[in-house]
Amino acid sequence: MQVEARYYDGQTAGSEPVTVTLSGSQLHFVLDTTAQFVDVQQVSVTAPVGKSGTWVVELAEGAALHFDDEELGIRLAGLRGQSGFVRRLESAWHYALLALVVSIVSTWALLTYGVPYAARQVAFALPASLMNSLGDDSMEVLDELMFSTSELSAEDKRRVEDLFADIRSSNADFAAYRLEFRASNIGPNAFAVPGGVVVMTDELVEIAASDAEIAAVLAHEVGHLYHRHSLRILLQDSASALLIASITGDLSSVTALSAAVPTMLMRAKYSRDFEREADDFAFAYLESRDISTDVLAELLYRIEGNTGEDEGVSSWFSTHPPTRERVNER
Amino acid sequence: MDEKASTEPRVADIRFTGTASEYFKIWIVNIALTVLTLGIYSAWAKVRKLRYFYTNTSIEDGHFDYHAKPEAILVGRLIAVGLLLIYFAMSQYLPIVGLVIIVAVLLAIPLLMVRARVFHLRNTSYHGLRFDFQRNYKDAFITIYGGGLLAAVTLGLAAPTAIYLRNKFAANNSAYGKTPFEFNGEQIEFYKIFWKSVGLGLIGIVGYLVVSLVVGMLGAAVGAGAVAVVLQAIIFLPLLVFYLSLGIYVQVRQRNYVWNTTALGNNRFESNLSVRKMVILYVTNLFAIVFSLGLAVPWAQIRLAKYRAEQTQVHLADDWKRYVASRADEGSSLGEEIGEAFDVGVELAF
Repeated sequence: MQVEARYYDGQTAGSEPVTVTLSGSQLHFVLDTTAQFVDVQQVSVTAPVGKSGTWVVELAEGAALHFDDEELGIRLAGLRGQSGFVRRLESAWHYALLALVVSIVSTWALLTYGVPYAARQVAFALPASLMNSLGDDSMEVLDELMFSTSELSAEDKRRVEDLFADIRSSNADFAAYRLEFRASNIGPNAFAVPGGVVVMTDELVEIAASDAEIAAVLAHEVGHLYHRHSLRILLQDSASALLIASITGDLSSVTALSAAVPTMLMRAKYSRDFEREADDFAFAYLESRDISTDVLAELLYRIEGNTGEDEGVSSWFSTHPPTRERVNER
Repeated sequence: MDEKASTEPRVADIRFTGTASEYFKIWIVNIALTVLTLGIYSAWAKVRKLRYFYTNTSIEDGHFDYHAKPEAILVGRLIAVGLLLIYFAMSQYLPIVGLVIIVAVLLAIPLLMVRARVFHLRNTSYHGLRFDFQRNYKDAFITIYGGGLLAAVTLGLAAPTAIYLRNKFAANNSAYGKTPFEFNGEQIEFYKIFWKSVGLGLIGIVGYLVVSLVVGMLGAAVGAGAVAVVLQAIIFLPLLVFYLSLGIYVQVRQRNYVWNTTALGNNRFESNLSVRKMVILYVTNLFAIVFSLGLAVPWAQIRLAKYRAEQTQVHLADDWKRYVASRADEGSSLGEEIGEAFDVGVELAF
């Protein structure tokens, strides 16, 4: 077959018109009265992106043949064993629809199951000793940001420490966990700090109506440590942010919001999942000690009365599940 | 062939022939394959996207093309992602190492920018001839840090000088084949654009304060506090659009000026982007993208590319055959990818 093509020498801008003939697996054309023969197996053939456009045959020394003839292009690609699979996918609306469904389903599956599963595997592959050495700086940062020295009485401290010791004794793995007391500037709360530290705030000890409530909170925080949540949340946040960025990567800065919002939503969702996991751990402990699991709910409602909780859309961005759900779930 | 025509001075339009329906299919297949391959395909996706936009952009009988090997981009991306992961992990557990990484990347910005330009331009061609960029690291450091320092010590008053220096650096080190681009712009224009935008910005703030004060007092006078709150929300939206427009104003005016004062041999460029049209484009694009849950992204990108091409002309005076290649390797994609990963805008106005 004969096709009109343009010859680019790779040294200057602009082209010479040539007539290209394909016979067998050889391309033949005449350039400045000199016959040129090109073995298709020795050159690269690039299809246009889009349904029509320029095919490029890259010759030696940066030279190239350009032509727009689909038929010749497909024959050359066929000779080189290039299937043109991706270009075929890009060419029809039913494939586009399929790609849309695949994008949505696989993004959802990856973010909901794939990323948390992989993060769990990685987090538990690391030795516990490494986990415990990781958090030294975190405590300093927290002290700087929101804590001051605890003003609890020695008696109160001993009481809470006894409760903590009982939880620690429930599993040999918990031996390295420690308890710290702090006064907090963000109200009643407790924290699980990477490195095996549970921080109990004065405000929470004060608002708690019973030892059982304090034990429930301590067990919840030990649940965070036991499940290595701090490492897993870091891994999951990084992986989901990378995944979302690679999908929305070619958006301009004006629409960067479209990457930030899903990243924030995923971050909040992962956090809520971990809160539920820590709740389950606390409930299991309370049941093993014959304590009613209602105590956690009662404490949560009392704290909520202090701070208030939003319902509706804003709960999607919340890092904790709604209290009503946490209470009914067990 | 073109020799006779191409020696006569003439004005050529830049044509963009991409369509939203065709690009939508390319875009969605890119996303699907990227997700299915856990991000690996994103390097191929980038090449297919750029090839679609470039091959559909033409001047006279020649079109642009992008030749980067996806494998090179993938290697750059993997290194960048590795660095990013180390940074994430370290900033959590060993903040000092995270800080070292950030400082190292900051120090390397001029280097990364140069590498990114080299990779991008050497893989971009028009009419079968590649563009090029000088590996001028010394000037890059002087331009970026000198300009930045000057802007910092003058509390931003000298920012236009920094912008001017960056554009000059970017243009003068770019070349088509062996022929360098030449930037003839003057600093004073960047100052005019800058001060006009600062002035408009101040007027916007004062205007907003006055209007909200009046609304607040009226609300208090008639005893309808709720109405005043609603009214304030209503006038806040135009304020947002106003500041978006101000950002676009600066970008558009600078782009027009840089193109209009840059030459390639005897060829000149002409850019006539209108601030009003660009604001309308951006705002409608934003609404379309939000309300289509992202599906309008290809349409938005195509109409932006089309408008930019329509408003750009080339005053041709040279024979294309006079432009000859510089022999050089294609460079590595590392700078571009690390720059993107850490969001250190490697794009210059040019």
